[in-house]
Amino acid sequence: MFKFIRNRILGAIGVLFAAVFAVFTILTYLPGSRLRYLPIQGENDLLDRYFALIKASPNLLTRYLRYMYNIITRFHFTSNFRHHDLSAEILTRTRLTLLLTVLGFVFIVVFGIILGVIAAHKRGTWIDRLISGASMFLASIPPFCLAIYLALIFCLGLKLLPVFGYAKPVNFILPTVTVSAAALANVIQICRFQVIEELNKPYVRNLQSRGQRESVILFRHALKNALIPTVSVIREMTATIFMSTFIAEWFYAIPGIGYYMIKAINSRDYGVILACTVVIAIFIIIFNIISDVVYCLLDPKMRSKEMGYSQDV
Amino acid sequence: MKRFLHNRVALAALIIFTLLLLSCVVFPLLGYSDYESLHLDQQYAPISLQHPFSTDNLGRDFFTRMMVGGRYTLGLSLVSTVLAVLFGTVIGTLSAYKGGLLDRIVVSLCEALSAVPYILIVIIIEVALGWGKGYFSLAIAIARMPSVIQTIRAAVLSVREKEFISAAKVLGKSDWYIITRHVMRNVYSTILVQFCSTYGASIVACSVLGYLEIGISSPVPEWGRMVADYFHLIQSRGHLVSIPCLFISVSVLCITMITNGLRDALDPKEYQHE
Repeated sequence: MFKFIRNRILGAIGVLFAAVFAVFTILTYLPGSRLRYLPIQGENDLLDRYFALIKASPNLLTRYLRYMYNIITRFHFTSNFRHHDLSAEILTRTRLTLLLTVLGFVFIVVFGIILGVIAAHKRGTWIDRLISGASMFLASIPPFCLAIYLALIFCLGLKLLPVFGYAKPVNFILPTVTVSAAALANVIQICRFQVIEELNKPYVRNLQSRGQRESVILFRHALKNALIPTVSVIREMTATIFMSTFIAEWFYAIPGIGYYMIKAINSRDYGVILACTVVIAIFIIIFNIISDVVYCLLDPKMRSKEMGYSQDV
Repeated sequence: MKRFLHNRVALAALIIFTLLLLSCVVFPLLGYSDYESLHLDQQYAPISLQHPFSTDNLGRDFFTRMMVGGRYTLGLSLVSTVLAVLFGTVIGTLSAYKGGLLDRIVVSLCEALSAVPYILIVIIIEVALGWGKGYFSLAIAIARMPSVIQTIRAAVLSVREKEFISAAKVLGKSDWYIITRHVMRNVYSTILVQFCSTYGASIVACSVLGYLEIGISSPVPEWGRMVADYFHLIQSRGHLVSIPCLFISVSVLCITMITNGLRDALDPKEYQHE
Protein backbone atom coordinates (compact mmCIF):
# COMPACT_ATOMS: atom_id res chain seq x y z
CA MET A 1 0.00 0.00 0.00
CA PHE A 2 2.77 2.40 0.95
CA LYS A 3 4.55 1.57 -2.24
CA PHE A 4 1.40 2.34 -4.20
CA ILE A 5 0.89 5.65 -2.41
CA ARG A 6 4.53 6.58 -2.83
CA ASN A 7 4.31 5.92 -6.55
CA ARG A 8 1.15 7.99 -6.78
CA ILE A 9 2.77 10.91 -4.98
CA LEU A 10 5.87 10.78 -7.18
CA GLY A 11 3.72 10.61 -10.29
CA ALA A 12 1.59 13.49 -9.08
CA ILE A 13 4.63 15.67 -8.46
CA GLY A 14 5.89 14.85 -11.94
CA VAL A 15 2.55 15.83 -13.44
CA LEU A 16 2.59 19.05 -11.39
CA PHE A 17 5.99 20.07 -12.70
CA ALA A 18 5.07 19.22 -16.29
CA ALA A 19 1.76 21.07 -16.16
CA VAL A 20 3.25 24.18 -14.60
CA PHE A 21 6.07 24.10 -17.14
CA ALA A 22 3.55 23.98 -20.00
CA VAL A 23 1.60 26.93 -18.63
CA PHE A 24 4.80 28.82 -17.86
CA THR A 25 6.04 28.41 -21.41
CA ILE A 26 2.75 29.41 -23.00
CA LEU A 27 2.38 32.48 -20.83
CA THR A 28 5.98 33.56 -21.42
CA TYR A 29 5.73 33.55 -25.18
CA LEU A 30 2.33 35.17 -25.38
CA PRO A 31 2.01 38.46 -27.15
CA GLY A 32 0.75 41.36 -25.11
CA SER A 33 1.31 42.29 -21.53
CA ARG A 34 -0.04 44.67 -18.97
CA LEU A 35 3.13 46.74 -19.25
CA ARG A 36 2.00 47.87 -22.68
CA TYR A 37 -0.80 49.81 -21.07
CA LEU A 38 1.43 51.69 -18.66
CA PRO A 39 1.52 55.42 -19.32
CA ILE A 40 5.11 55.40 -20.56
CA GLN A 41 5.19 57.76 -23.49
CA GLY A 42 7.65 57.30 -26.28
CA GLU A 43 9.58 54.61 -24.50
CA ASN A 44 8.33 51.59 -26.38
CA ASP A 45 11.93 50.90 -27.19
CA LEU A 46 12.62 50.45 -23.49
CA LEU A 47 9.70 48.07 -23.09
CA ASP A 48 10.82 46.10 -26.10
CA ARG A 49 14.24 45.74 -24.62
CA TYR A 50 12.70 44.68 -21.32
CA PHE A 51 10.60 42.03 -23.03
CA ALA A 52 13.59 40.82 -24.97
CA LEU A 53 15.44 40.57 -21.68
CA ILE A 54 12.83 38.53 -19.83
CA LYS A 55 12.26 36.31 -22.81
CA ALA A 56 15.87 35.62 -23.67
CA SER A 57 17.91 35.57 -20.53
CA PRO A 58 18.42 33.54 -18.58
CA ASN A 59 16.90 30.75 -20.60
CA LEU A 60 13.39 29.46 -20.10
CA LEU A 61 14.28 26.33 -18.17
CA THR A 62 16.45 28.20 -15.69
CA ARG A 63 13.75 30.74 -15.03
CA TYR A 64 11.17 28.03 -14.67
CA LEU A 65 13.30 26.13 -12.18
CA ARG A 66 13.99 29.31 -10.24
CA TYR A 67 10.27 30.05 -10.16
CA MET A 68 9.44 26.61 -8.82
CA TYR A 69 12.35 26.76 -6.36
CA ASN A 70 11.00 29.99 -4.89
CA ILE A 71 7.55 28.49 -4.51
CA ILE A 72 8.70 25.25 -2.95
CA THR A 73 11.21 26.62 -0.52
CA ARG A 74 9.56 29.86 0.58
CA PHE A 75 6.03 29.79 -0.86
CA HIS A 76 7.17 32.88 -2.66
CA PHE A 77 5.34 33.65 -5.89
CA THR A 78 7.47 35.83 -8.08
CA SER A 79 6.07 37.34 -11.20
CA ASN A 80 7.97 38.19 -14.32
CA PHE A 81 5.08 40.25 -15.48
CA ARG A 82 4.32 42.38 -12.49
CA HIS A 83 7.17 43.15 -10.21
CA HIS A 84 5.66 42.76 -6.86
CA ASP A 85 5.34 39.90 -4.50
CA LEU A 86 2.13 37.91 -4.80
CA SER A 87 2.76 35.59 -1.85
CA ALA A 88 0.75 37.39 0.82
CA GLU A 89 -2.26 37.81 -1.43
CA ILE A 90 -2.11 34.22 -2.64
CA LEU A 91 -1.84 32.95 0.91
CA THR A 92 -4.89 34.79 2.28
CA ARG A 93 -6.93 33.80 -0.74
CA THR A 94 -5.79 30.20 -0.56
CA ARG A 95 -7.18 29.93 2.96
CA LEU A 96 -10.66 30.92 1.83
CA THR A 97 -10.63 28.60 -1.16
CA LEU A 98 -9.33 25.75 0.94
CA LEU A 99 -12.05 26.33 3.53
CA LEU A 100 -14.74 26.36 0.89
CA THR A 101 -13.42 23.26 -0.85
CA VAL A 102 -13.02 21.26 2.35
CA LEU A 103 -16.55 22.23 3.41
CA GLY A 104 -17.75 21.10 -0.01
CA PHE A 105 -15.96 17.77 0.28
CA VAL A 106 -17.36 17.11 3.76
CA PHE A 107 -20.83 18.00 2.56
CA ILE A 108 -20.49 15.68 -0.44
CA VAL A 109 -19.21 12.74 1.58
CA VAL A 110 -21.74 13.05 4.40
CA PHE A 111 -24.89 13.90 2.45
CA GLY A 112 -24.00 11.94 -0.66
CA ILE A 113 -23.60 8.70 1.24
CA ILE A 114 -26.55 9.24 3.60
CA LEU A 115 -28.97 10.22 0.83
CA GLY A 116 -27.67 7.45 -1.42
CA VAL A 117 -28.25 4.83 1.28
CA ILE A 118 -31.71 6.21 2.06
CA ALA A 119 -32.66 6.14 -1.62
CA ALA A 120 -31.41 2.58 -1.94
CA HIS A 121 -33.18 1.47 1.21
CA LYS A 122 -36.50 2.99 0.11
CA ARG A 123 -36.06 2.04 -3.53
CA GLY A 124 -39.18 2.29 -5.65
CA THR A 125 -40.98 4.62 -3.25
CA TRP A 126 -41.57 8.33 -3.65
CA ILE A 127 -38.57 9.12 -1.42
CA ASP A 128 -36.28 7.29 -3.82
CA ARG A 129 -37.89 8.98 -6.81
CA LEU A 130 -37.55 12.38 -5.15
CA ILE A 131 -33.88 11.89 -4.30
CA SER A 132 -33.05 10.43 -7.72
CA GLY A 133 -34.93 13.16 -9.57
CA ALA A 134 -33.33 15.92 -7.53
CA SER A 135 -29.88 14.45 -8.04
CA MET A 136 -30.43 14.23 -11.79
CA PHE A 137 -31.50 17.88 -11.78
CA LEU A 138 -28.49 18.93 -9.73
CA ALA A 139 -26.09 16.88 -11.81
CA SER A 140 -27.08 18.50 -15.07
CA ILE A 141 -27.66 22.21 -14.44
CA PRO A 142 -24.63 24.52 -14.40
CA PRO A 143 -23.55 25.64 -10.90
CA PHE A 144 -24.27 29.31 -11.47
CA CYS A 145 -27.91 28.56 -12.35
CA LEU A 146 -28.22 26.67 -9.07
CA ALA A 147 -26.61 29.61 -7.26
CA ILE A 148 -29.15 31.98 -8.78
CA TYR A 149 -32.08 29.75 -7.90
CA LEU A 150 -30.78 29.46 -4.34
CA ALA A 151 -30.31 33.22 -4.11
CA LEU A 152 -33.80 33.83 -5.47
CA ILE A 153 -35.41 31.37 -3.06
CA PHE A 154 -33.46 31.74 0.17
CA CYS A 155 -32.21 35.31 -0.03
CA LEU A 156 -34.79 37.28 -1.98
CA GLY A 157 -37.86 35.10 -1.44
CA LEU A 158 -37.62 33.76 2.10
CA LYS A 159 -35.00 36.27 3.32
CA LEU A 160 -33.34 33.56 5.39
CA LEU A 161 -29.71 33.73 4.37
CA PRO A 162 -27.35 36.49 3.29
CA VAL A 163 -26.19 36.49 -0.34
CA PHE A 164 -22.76 38.01 -0.02
CA GLY A 165 -20.00 38.21 2.54
CA TYR A 166 -17.60 35.71 4.06
CA ALA A 167 -17.22 36.74 7.68
CA LYS A 168 -19.81 34.60 9.48
CA PRO A 169 -20.42 30.86 9.22
CA VAL A 170 -23.93 31.57 7.89
CA ASN A 171 -22.39 33.04 4.78
CA PHE A 172 -20.86 29.71 3.84
CA ILE A 173 -24.08 27.70 3.65
CA LEU A 174 -25.10 28.64 0.12
CA PRO A 175 -21.55 28.58 -1.31
CA THR A 176 -21.02 25.10 0.13
CA VAL A 177 -24.21 23.86 -1.48
CA THR A 178 -23.21 25.43 -4.79
CA VAL A 179 -19.72 23.96 -4.66
CA SER A 180 -20.90 20.46 -3.89
CA ALA A 181 -24.14 20.18 -5.88
CA ALA A 182 -22.89 18.55 -9.08
CA ALA A 183 -20.53 16.13 -7.38
CA LEU A 184 -23.05 15.41 -4.63
CA ALA A 185 -25.62 14.38 -7.21
CA ASN A 186 -23.18 11.99 -8.86
CA VAL A 187 -22.17 10.50 -5.52
CA ILE A 188 -25.81 9.96 -4.58
CA GLN A 189 -26.51 8.19 -7.86
CA ILE A 190 -23.47 5.92 -7.63
CA CYS A 191 -23.97 5.20 -3.94
CA ARG A 192 -27.63 4.30 -4.49
CA PHE A 193 -26.78 2.07 -7.45
CA GLN A 194 -24.00 0.26 -5.60
CA VAL A 195 -25.98 -0.25 -2.41
CA ILE A 196 -28.87 -1.70 -4.43
CA GLU A 197 -26.39 -4.03 -6.14
CA GLU A 198 -25.13 -5.16 -2.76
CA LEU A 199 -28.62 -5.63 -1.33
CA ASN A 200 -29.46 -7.98 -4.21
CA LYS A 201 -26.59 -10.30 -3.32
CA PRO A 202 -27.22 -13.59 -1.51
CA TYR A 203 -25.29 -12.74 1.64
CA VAL A 204 -27.82 -10.03 2.46
CA ARG A 205 -30.65 -12.54 2.31
CA ASN A 206 -28.67 -14.76 4.62
CA LEU A 207 -28.25 -11.90 7.09
CA GLN A 208 -31.94 -11.07 6.87
CA SER A 209 -32.95 -14.65 7.51
CA ARG A 210 -30.71 -14.67 10.57
CA GLY A 211 -32.71 -11.72 11.84
CA GLN A 212 -30.00 -9.13 11.59
CA ARG A 213 -31.26 -5.58 11.98
CA GLU A 214 -31.84 -3.61 8.77
CA SER A 215 -29.60 -0.73 9.82
CA VAL A 216 -26.69 -3.07 10.50
CA ILE A 217 -27.14 -4.75 7.12
CA LEU A 218 -27.34 -1.41 5.37
CA PHE A 219 -24.47 0.39 7.01
CA ARG A 220 -22.09 -2.29 8.16
CA HIS A 221 -22.40 -4.69 5.26
CA ALA A 222 -23.87 -3.15 2.13
CA LEU A 223 -22.43 0.34 2.50
CA LYS A 224 -18.99 -0.97 3.36
CA ASN A 225 -18.80 -2.76 0.02
CA ALA A 226 -20.45 0.08 -1.85
CA LEU A 227 -17.99 2.66 -0.54
CA ILE A 228 -15.11 1.68 -2.81
CA PRO A 229 -16.73 2.72 -6.12
CA THR A 230 -18.21 5.76 -4.38
CA VAL A 231 -14.80 6.97 -3.29
CA SER A 232 -13.44 6.47 -6.77
CA VAL A 233 -16.28 8.63 -8.11
CA ILE A 234 -15.42 11.36 -5.62
CA ARG A 235 -11.84 11.16 -6.83
CA GLU A 236 -12.95 11.59 -10.42
CA MET A 237 -15.08 14.58 -9.46
CA THR A 238 -12.20 16.61 -7.99
CA ALA A 239 -11.84 18.77 -11.07
CA THR A 240 -15.59 19.42 -11.15
CA ILE A 241 -15.56 20.45 -7.51
CA PHE A 242 -12.80 22.97 -8.15
CA MET A 243 -14.69 24.25 -11.15
CA SER A 244 -17.75 24.79 -8.98
CA THR A 245 -15.56 26.49 -6.38
CA PHE A 246 -14.50 29.06 -8.97
CA ILE A 247 -18.09 29.78 -9.85
CA ALA A 248 -19.27 29.91 -6.24
CA GLU A 249 -16.48 32.35 -5.39
CA TRP A 250 -17.35 34.51 -8.35
CA PHE A 251 -21.06 34.46 -7.60
CA TYR A 252 -20.91 35.02 -3.84
CA ALA A 253 -17.98 37.46 -4.15
CA ILE A 254 -15.68 35.42 -1.93
CA PRO A 255 -12.13 36.63 -2.63
CA GLY A 256 -10.50 33.24 -3.05
CA ILE A 257 -8.13 31.88 -5.67
CA GLY A 258 -10.86 31.35 -8.24
CA TYR A 259 -12.12 34.90 -7.96
CA TYR A 260 -8.58 36.22 -8.21
CA MET A 261 -7.89 34.12 -11.25
CA ILE A 262 -11.02 35.13 -13.15
CA LYS A 263 -10.23 38.77 -12.43
CA ALA A 264 -6.69 38.18 -13.65
CA ILE A 265 -7.92 36.56 -16.84
CA ASN A 266 -10.21 39.47 -17.58
CA SER A 267 -7.32 41.89 -17.15
CA ARG A 268 -4.70 39.64 -18.83
CA ASP A 269 -2.51 39.51 -15.76
CA TYR A 270 -0.42 36.50 -16.70
CA GLY A 271 1.70 36.40 -13.55
CA VAL A 272 -1.38 35.99 -11.41
CA ILE A 273 -2.86 33.41 -13.76
CA LEU A 274 0.31 31.36 -13.46
CA ALA A 275 0.41 31.63 -9.68
CA CYS A 276 -3.24 30.61 -9.38
CA THR A 277 -2.68 27.70 -11.75
CA VAL A 278 0.15 26.46 -9.55
CA VAL A 279 -1.95 26.73 -6.39
CA ILE A 280 -4.92 24.94 -7.94
CA ALA A 281 -2.69 22.21 -9.36
CA ILE A 282 -1.20 21.67 -5.90
CA PHE A 283 -4.70 21.52 -4.41
CA ILE A 284 -5.89 18.97 -6.90
CA ILE A 285 -2.86 16.80 -6.38
CA ILE A 286 -3.20 16.90 -2.59
CA PHE A 287 -6.88 15.95 -2.81
CA ASN A 288 -6.07 13.14 -5.21
CA ILE A 289 -3.44 11.76 -2.87
CA ILE A 290 -5.84 11.90 0.07
CA SER A 291 -8.51 10.05 -1.89
CA ASP A 292 -5.90 7.49 -2.98
CA VAL A 293 -5.02 6.86 0.64
CA VAL A 294 -8.69 6.50 1.57
CA TYR A 295 -9.15 4.17 -1.37
CA CYS A 296 -6.27 2.04 -0.20
CA LEU A 297 -7.62 1.87 3.32
CA LEU A 298 -11.04 0.78 2.06
CA ASP A 299 -10.03 -1.74 -0.56
CA PRO A 300 -8.89 -5.05 0.91
CA LYS A 301 -7.18 -5.98 -2.34
CA MET A 302 -4.84 -3.04 -1.96
CA ARG A 303 -4.09 -3.91 1.64
CA SER A 304 -3.34 -7.50 0.80
CA LYS A 305 -0.91 -6.43 -1.90
CA GLU A 306 1.08 -4.67 0.78
CA MET A 307 1.06 -7.80 2.95
CA GLY A 308 2.82 -9.66 0.20
CA TYR A 309 0.16 -12.01 -1.07
CA SER A 310 -2.48 -11.51 -3.63
CA GLN A 311 -5.81 -13.25 -3.86
CA ASP A 312 -6.14 -13.20 -7.59
CA VAL A 313 -3.35 -15.70 -8.28
CA MET B 1 -35.20 3.40 -31.84
CA LYS B 2 -38.55 1.89 -30.98
CA ARG B 3 -37.44 1.37 -27.42
CA PHE B 4 -36.41 5.01 -27.20
CA LEU B 5 -39.81 6.16 -28.43
CA HIS B 6 -41.53 4.05 -25.78
CA ASN B 7 -39.63 5.93 -23.06
CA ARG B 8 -42.09 8.72 -22.35
CA VAL B 9 -39.74 10.95 -20.35
CA ALA B 10 -37.03 10.83 -22.98
CA LEU B 11 -39.53 11.43 -25.76
CA ALA B 12 -40.96 14.47 -23.98
CA ALA B 13 -37.45 15.80 -23.41
CA LEU B 14 -36.64 15.30 -27.09
CA ILE B 15 -39.77 17.18 -28.15
CA ILE B 16 -39.13 20.08 -25.75
CA PHE B 17 -35.52 20.38 -26.81
CA THR B 18 -36.41 20.24 -30.50
CA LEU B 19 -38.99 23.00 -30.00
CA LEU B 20 -36.41 25.10 -28.18
CA LEU B 21 -33.83 24.58 -30.89
CA LEU B 22 -36.35 25.24 -33.66
CA SER B 23 -37.58 28.43 -32.03
CA CYS B 24 -34.01 29.67 -31.75
CA VAL B 25 -33.59 29.00 -35.46
CA VAL B 26 -36.99 30.21 -36.66
CA PHE B 27 -37.84 33.31 -34.60
CA PRO B 28 -34.80 35.36 -35.67
CA LEU B 29 -35.89 34.66 -39.27
CA LEU B 30 -39.41 35.92 -38.53
CA GLY B 31 -38.27 39.41 -37.65
CA TYR B 32 -37.05 38.93 -34.12
CA SER B 33 -33.47 39.50 -35.14
CA ASP B 34 -32.56 43.00 -33.96
CA TYR B 35 -30.86 42.23 -30.68
CA GLU B 36 -28.59 45.22 -30.27
CA SER B 37 -30.37 48.46 -31.22
CA LEU B 38 -31.12 50.53 -28.14
CA HIS B 39 -34.46 52.18 -27.37
CA LEU B 40 -33.86 54.05 -24.16
CA ASP B 41 -37.43 55.35 -24.21
CA GLN B 42 -38.79 51.79 -24.04
CA GLN B 43 -37.14 50.47 -20.87
CA TYR B 44 -39.03 47.54 -19.38
CA ALA B 45 -41.84 47.82 -21.92
CA PRO B 46 -45.07 45.98 -21.06
CA ILE B 47 -45.47 42.51 -22.49
CA SER B 48 -46.87 42.62 -26.01
CA LEU B 49 -46.61 40.76 -29.28
CA GLN B 50 -43.68 42.96 -30.22
CA HIS B 51 -41.96 42.32 -26.89
CA PRO B 52 -43.17 38.92 -25.62
CA PHE B 53 -40.64 38.90 -22.73
CA SER B 54 -40.66 42.69 -22.21
CA THR B 55 -37.46 44.69 -22.77
CA ASP B 56 -34.24 45.05 -20.80
CA ASN B 57 -32.64 48.02 -19.08
CA LEU B 58 -31.47 49.47 -22.39
CA GLY B 59 -34.78 48.94 -24.17
CA ARG B 60 -33.58 45.97 -26.18
CA ASP B 61 -36.20 43.33 -26.89
CA PHE B 62 -35.54 40.53 -24.43
CA PHE B 63 -37.25 37.80 -26.43
CA THR B 64 -35.06 38.53 -29.44
CA ARG B 65 -31.99 38.48 -27.24
CA MET B 66 -33.02 35.11 -25.83
CA MET B 67 -33.60 33.60 -29.26
CA VAL B 68 -30.42 34.94 -30.83
CA GLY B 69 -28.56 33.99 -27.65
CA GLY B 70 -29.86 30.46 -28.04
CA ARG B 71 -28.27 30.35 -31.46
CA TYR B 72 -24.93 31.15 -29.88
CA THR B 73 -25.20 28.95 -26.80
CA LEU B 74 -26.73 25.92 -28.47
CA GLY B 75 -24.97 26.43 -31.82
CA LEU B 76 -21.45 26.95 -30.53
CA SER B 77 -21.86 24.02 -28.16
CA LEU B 78 -23.03 21.90 -31.07
CA VAL B 79 -19.97 22.87 -33.11
CA SER B 80 -17.62 22.04 -30.25
CA THR B 81 -19.46 18.78 -29.58
CA VAL B 82 -19.12 17.71 -33.20
CA LEU B 83 -15.41 18.56 -33.10
CA ALA B 84 -14.85 16.78 -29.78
CA VAL B 85 -16.73 13.63 -30.78
CA LEU B 86 -15.17 13.49 -34.24
CA PHE B 87 -11.57 13.86 -33.09
CA GLY B 88 -12.24 11.95 -29.88
CA THR B 89 -13.57 8.99 -31.82
CA VAL B 90 -10.67 8.96 -34.26
CA ILE B 91 -8.04 9.27 -31.54
CA GLY B 92 -9.78 6.87 -29.18
CA THR B 93 -10.29 4.21 -31.85
CA LEU B 94 -6.74 4.44 -33.15
CA SER B 95 -5.28 4.41 -29.67
CA ALA B 96 -7.27 1.36 -28.60
CA TYR B 97 -6.83 -0.49 -31.88
CA LYS B 98 -3.14 0.13 -32.34
CA GLY B 99 -2.10 0.02 -28.69
CA GLY B 100 1.55 0.33 -27.77
CA LEU B 101 3.30 3.64 -27.27
CA LEU B 102 0.55 5.72 -28.91
CA ASP B 103 -2.00 4.23 -26.56
CA ARG B 104 0.11 4.94 -23.51
CA ILE B 105 0.70 8.56 -24.53
CA VAL B 106 -2.99 9.14 -25.25
CA VAL B 107 -4.08 7.58 -21.96
CA SER B 108 -1.69 9.56 -19.81
CA LEU B 109 -2.50 12.81 -21.64
CA CYS B 110 -6.19 12.21 -21.11
CA GLU B 111 -5.69 11.47 -17.44
CA ALA B 112 -3.68 14.64 -16.97
CA LEU B 113 -6.21 16.77 -18.85
CA SER B 114 -9.25 15.38 -17.07
CA ALA B 115 -7.69 16.15 -13.68
CA VAL B 116 -7.61 19.87 -14.50
CA PRO B 117 -10.77 21.99 -14.24
CA TYR B 118 -11.93 22.58 -17.80
CA ILE B 119 -12.10 26.32 -17.29
CA LEU B 120 -8.31 26.29 -16.95
CA ILE B 121 -7.88 24.40 -20.21
CA VAL B 122 -10.25 26.71 -22.06
CA ILE B 123 -8.54 29.78 -20.67
CA ILE B 124 -5.08 28.61 -21.59
CA ILE B 125 -6.16 27.65 -25.11
CA GLU B 126 -7.98 30.95 -25.56
CA VAL B 127 -5.07 32.94 -24.19
CA ALA B 128 -2.67 31.07 -26.43
CA LEU B 129 -4.67 31.08 -29.66
CA GLY B 130 -6.91 34.10 -29.48
CA TRP B 131 -10.31 35.24 -28.38
CA GLY B 132 -12.97 34.51 -30.95
CA LYS B 133 -16.03 32.34 -31.49
CA GLY B 134 -14.10 29.75 -33.48
CA TYR B 135 -11.31 29.43 -30.96
CA PHE B 136 -13.86 29.40 -28.17
CA SER B 137 -15.66 26.37 -29.52
CA LEU B 138 -12.34 24.71 -30.32
CA ALA B 139 -11.25 25.31 -26.74
CA ILE B 140 -14.42 23.74 -25.35
CA ALA B 141 -13.97 20.84 -27.76
CA ILE B 142 -10.44 20.22 -26.53
CA ALA B 143 -11.53 20.49 -22.91
CA ARG B 144 -14.30 17.92 -23.52
CA MET B 145 -12.19 15.55 -25.59
CA PRO B 146 -10.48 13.49 -22.84
CA SER B 147 -13.72 12.00 -21.57
CA VAL B 148 -14.84 11.18 -25.12
CA ILE B 149 -11.50 9.54 -25.90
CA GLN B 150 -11.58 7.49 -22.70
CA THR B 151 -15.11 6.20 -23.30
CA ILE B 152 -14.56 5.36 -26.97
CA ARG B 153 -11.23 3.75 -26.17
CA ALA B 154 -12.83 1.50 -23.55
CA ALA B 155 -15.60 0.53 -25.97
CA VAL B 156 -13.17 -0.28 -28.79
CA LEU B 157 -10.93 -2.25 -26.43
CA SER B 158 -13.85 -4.47 -25.46
CA VAL B 159 -14.71 -5.08 -29.10
CA ARG B 160 -11.12 -5.63 -30.25
CA GLU B 161 -10.71 -8.91 -28.43
CA LYS B 162 -13.86 -10.49 -29.95
CA GLU B 163 -13.53 -13.49 -32.23
CA PHE B 164 -14.93 -11.87 -35.35
CA ILE B 165 -12.13 -9.31 -35.32
CA SER B 166 -9.52 -12.06 -35.23
CA ALA B 167 -11.46 -13.85 -37.94
CA ALA B 168 -11.39 -10.75 -40.11
CA LYS B 169 -7.67 -10.43 -39.50
CA VAL B 170 -7.12 -14.05 -40.47
CA LEU B 171 -9.08 -13.40 -43.66
CA GLY B 172 -6.48 -10.75 -44.44
CA LYS B 173 -8.73 -7.73 -44.24
CA SER B 174 -7.02 -4.38 -43.86
CA ASP B 175 -7.11 -2.41 -40.62
CA TRP B 176 -9.21 0.28 -42.27
CA TYR B 177 -11.77 -2.31 -43.35
CA ILE B 178 -11.93 -3.87 -39.90
CA ILE B 179 -12.29 -0.54 -38.16
CA THR B 180 -14.98 0.82 -40.44
CA ARG B 181 -16.92 -2.40 -40.98
CA HIS B 182 -16.62 -4.23 -37.68
CA VAL B 183 -15.43 -1.97 -34.89
CA MET B 184 -17.58 1.04 -35.75
CA ARG B 185 -20.73 -1.04 -36.12
CA ASN B 186 -20.28 -2.19 -32.55
CA VAL B 187 -19.40 1.09 -30.89
CA TYR B 188 -21.78 3.40 -32.73
CA SER B 189 -24.27 3.32 -29.84
CA THR B 190 -21.53 4.39 -27.44
CA ILE B 191 -20.63 7.23 -29.80
CA LEU B 192 -24.26 8.36 -30.00
CA VAL B 193 -24.69 8.37 -26.22
CA GLN B 194 -21.35 10.10 -25.86
CA PHE B 195 -22.41 12.72 -28.38
CA CYS B 196 -25.51 13.57 -26.35
CA SER B 197 -23.75 13.74 -23.01
CA THR B 198 -20.93 15.80 -24.50
CA TYR B 199 -23.49 18.19 -25.95
CA GLY B 200 -25.00 18.71 -22.50
CA ALA B 201 -21.59 19.26 -20.96
CA SER B 202 -20.64 21.68 -23.74
CA ILE B 203 -23.74 23.78 -23.14
CA VAL B 204 -22.85 23.91 -19.46
CA ALA B 205 -19.26 24.86 -20.28
CA CYS B 206 -20.32 27.50 -22.79
CA SER B 207 -22.78 29.17 -20.44
CA VAL B 208 -20.46 28.95 -17.43
CA LEU B 209 -17.67 30.63 -19.36
CA GLY B 210 -20.13 33.22 -20.60
CA TYR B 211 -21.25 33.81 -17.05
CA LEU B 212 -17.66 34.27 -15.88
CA GLU B 213 -17.21 36.81 -18.69
CA ILE B 214 -14.43 34.72 -20.20
CA GLY B 215 -16.31 33.39 -23.18
CA ILE B 216 -18.15 35.39 -25.77
CA SER B 217 -17.97 39.15 -25.27
CA SER B 218 -20.82 41.36 -24.26
CA PRO B 219 -23.05 42.72 -27.04
CA VAL B 220 -23.59 39.19 -28.29
CA PRO B 221 -26.44 37.71 -26.26
CA GLU B 222 -25.10 34.40 -25.08
CA TRP B 223 -27.34 32.94 -22.34
CA GLY B 224 -24.71 32.63 -19.65
CA ARG B 225 -23.36 36.04 -20.53
CA MET B 226 -26.87 37.51 -20.26
CA VAL B 227 -27.16 36.19 -16.71
CA ALA B 228 -23.96 38.04 -15.83
CA ASP B 229 -25.05 41.21 -17.65
CA TYR B 230 -28.42 41.48 -15.97
CA PHE B 231 -27.32 40.18 -12.60
CA HIS B 232 -27.38 43.63 -10.97
CA LEU B 233 -31.12 43.78 -11.77
CA ILE B 234 -31.94 40.57 -9.90
CA GLN B 235 -33.90 42.34 -7.16
CA SER B 236 -35.96 44.69 -9.32
CA ARG B 237 -36.32 42.68 -12.57
CA GLY B 238 -35.73 39.10 -11.54
CA HIS B 239 -37.09 37.68 -14.78
CA LEU B 240 -34.16 39.09 -16.77
CA VAL B 241 -31.88 36.77 -14.80
CA SER B 242 -34.16 33.83 -14.22
CA ILE B 243 -35.36 33.38 -17.81
CA PRO B 244 -31.89 32.75 -19.28
CA CYS B 245 -31.14 30.54 -16.29
CA LEU B 246 -34.32 28.60 -16.87
CA PHE B 247 -33.57 28.18 -20.58
CA ILE B 248 -30.09 26.84 -19.84
CA SER B 249 -31.40 24.48 -17.17
CA VAL B 250 -34.25 23.20 -19.33
CA SER B 251 -32.05 22.54 -22.34
CA VAL B 252 -29.38 20.77 -20.30
CA LEU B 253 -31.96 18.74 -18.38
CA CYS B 254 -33.64 17.71 -21.62
CA ILE B 255 -30.32 16.55 -23.02
CA THR B 256 -29.57 14.59 -19.85
CA MET B 257 -32.93 12.83 -20.16
CA ILE B 258 -32.38 12.13 -23.85
CA THR B 259 -28.96 10.72 -23.00
CA ASN B 260 -30.41 8.45 -20.33
CA GLY B 261 -33.17 7.34 -22.67
CA LEU B 262 -30.73 6.58 -25.46
CA ARG B 263 -28.46 4.67 -23.11
CA ASP B 264 -31.32 2.55 -21.84
CA ALA B 265 -32.63 1.97 -25.36
CA LEU B 266 -29.31 1.09 -26.97
CA ASP B 267 -27.74 -0.87 -24.18
CA PRO B 268 -30.52 -2.78 -22.46
CA LYS B 269 -28.48 -5.52 -20.88
CA GLU B 270 -26.45 -3.26 -18.65
CA TYR B 271 -29.33 -1.37 -17.15
CA GLN B 272 -32.15 -3.86 -17.05
CA HIS B 273 -32.02 -4.55 -13.33
CA GLU B 274 -32.82 -0.97 -12.42
